[in-house]
Amino acid sequence: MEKLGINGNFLIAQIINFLLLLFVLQRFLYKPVTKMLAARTKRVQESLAEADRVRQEAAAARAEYERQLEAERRRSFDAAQQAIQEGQKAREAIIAQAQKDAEDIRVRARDEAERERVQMLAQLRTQVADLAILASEKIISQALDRDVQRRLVNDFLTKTEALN
Amino acid sequence: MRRLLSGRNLAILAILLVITIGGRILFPIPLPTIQLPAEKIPGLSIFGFPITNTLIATLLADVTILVLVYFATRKMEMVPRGLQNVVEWVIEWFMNLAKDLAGEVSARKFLPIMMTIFLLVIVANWWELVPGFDSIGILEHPHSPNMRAYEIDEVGPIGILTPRLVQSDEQASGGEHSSGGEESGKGYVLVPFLRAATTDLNLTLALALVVMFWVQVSGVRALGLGYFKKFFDFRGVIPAIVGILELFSEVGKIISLTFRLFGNIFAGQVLIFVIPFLIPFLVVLPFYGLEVFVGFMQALVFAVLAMVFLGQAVVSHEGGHEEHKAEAGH
Repeated sequence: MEKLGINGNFLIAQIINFLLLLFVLQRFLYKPVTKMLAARTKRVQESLAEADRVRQEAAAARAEYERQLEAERRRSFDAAQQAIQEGQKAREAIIAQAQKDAEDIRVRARDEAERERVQMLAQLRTQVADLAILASEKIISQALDRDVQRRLVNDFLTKTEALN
Repeated sequence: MRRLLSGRNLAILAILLVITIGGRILFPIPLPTIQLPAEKIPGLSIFGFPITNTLIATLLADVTILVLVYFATRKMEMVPRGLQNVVEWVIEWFMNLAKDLAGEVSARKFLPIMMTIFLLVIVANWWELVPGFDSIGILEHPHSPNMRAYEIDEVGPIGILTPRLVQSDEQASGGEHSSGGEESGKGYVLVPFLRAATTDLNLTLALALVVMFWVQVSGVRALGLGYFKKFFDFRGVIPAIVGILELFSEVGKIISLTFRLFGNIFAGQVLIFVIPFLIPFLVVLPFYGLEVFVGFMQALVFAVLAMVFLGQAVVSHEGGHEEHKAEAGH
């Protein structure tokens, strides 16, 4: 053993040295480092979870926003559509009213014209009758009395009217 | 081929040749003493115990590790930087290796011993490669006629070994070794202050003993006294013989752990002594690279084997268990 250099004292010294080193490293290296590693692992997991959560929240918020946007769009579209329809209706109503008014005016005008024509015709008849009587008087020079004349003229007129 | 033998390359080759051959002639280097036991530093002792240069190197390795640990863990931060990062990476790497070797539970339990072995051995191994190790020390007259003693040049208080060998009287007079005794011969040998700690069998044997003792303790802790059934199994002739073989193999493990580390590093040391002795310059460089690798590899091998032995000890022998139950059933 001595030739190999193995010596009880040195051997014990080396064993003690190793055990001391083991103890010190255990205390000041492995424990803190493994604790730190574990803590970091935990922290990373937590922040990943947190990031996931935030991402999900953002996605939810975005979906909600898009949903609202879509609803708003639909609402305004409906409103526009309704306005168009109402305008259309109003237009039709106005047109109908105008047509009705025009029709009324036309009818009234025709009635007026008819009435005037009848009136004028009546006037004309009297005037023509008078004229005819006047003329006939002049021509016949009182050969007939007034009643006979008038009857004659009326006959004449009735005939002409029947002709009409 | 032509490009390889270009003028420039040939010139470089020629210069290298001149350096190596010229170095051999102009700067010959003495061969240091090669001996297995660590040298005791003359005149240095604590409480009457002599101190060897490997003991000092062991303490140097301890201090190196502690300084590294101090700076690595001084201000631990959540976001690691620099040394903390390196140390964390190393420990995590070993943790994963240990899990592969021995499983989660054993890895956690035995990581400290594995890491301590690795750190101590690799630091001790790599210190060997630092200039000044094995080359600065105290000049002594040789104790034994087998030592190669050299003349010295004195430069002020410092003596430098010259490559001029001093023939000891005994060798000159025909090899009467016994007559020289313990008295100092002529010439000088160098007793270096520092020598790679792992070239001392005391260190490697101490590590092996601690590991194998720890293996037994862990085995008993995990399996109770049933652990020893592995060694003392009297259910038959074959199991008894197997038990004896197991006992021998435990001893074998101690020996192989001890001498594997010692042998590799000691051989590397001898290589680094001898190569410059043959050719002083350049040629030794690749061997330094090799020794860096060997130093790492041996530290890793020792640590891994320790983890494997420890991991095996805490696992009960499933096969033997079942056999026992089957027998009880009959």
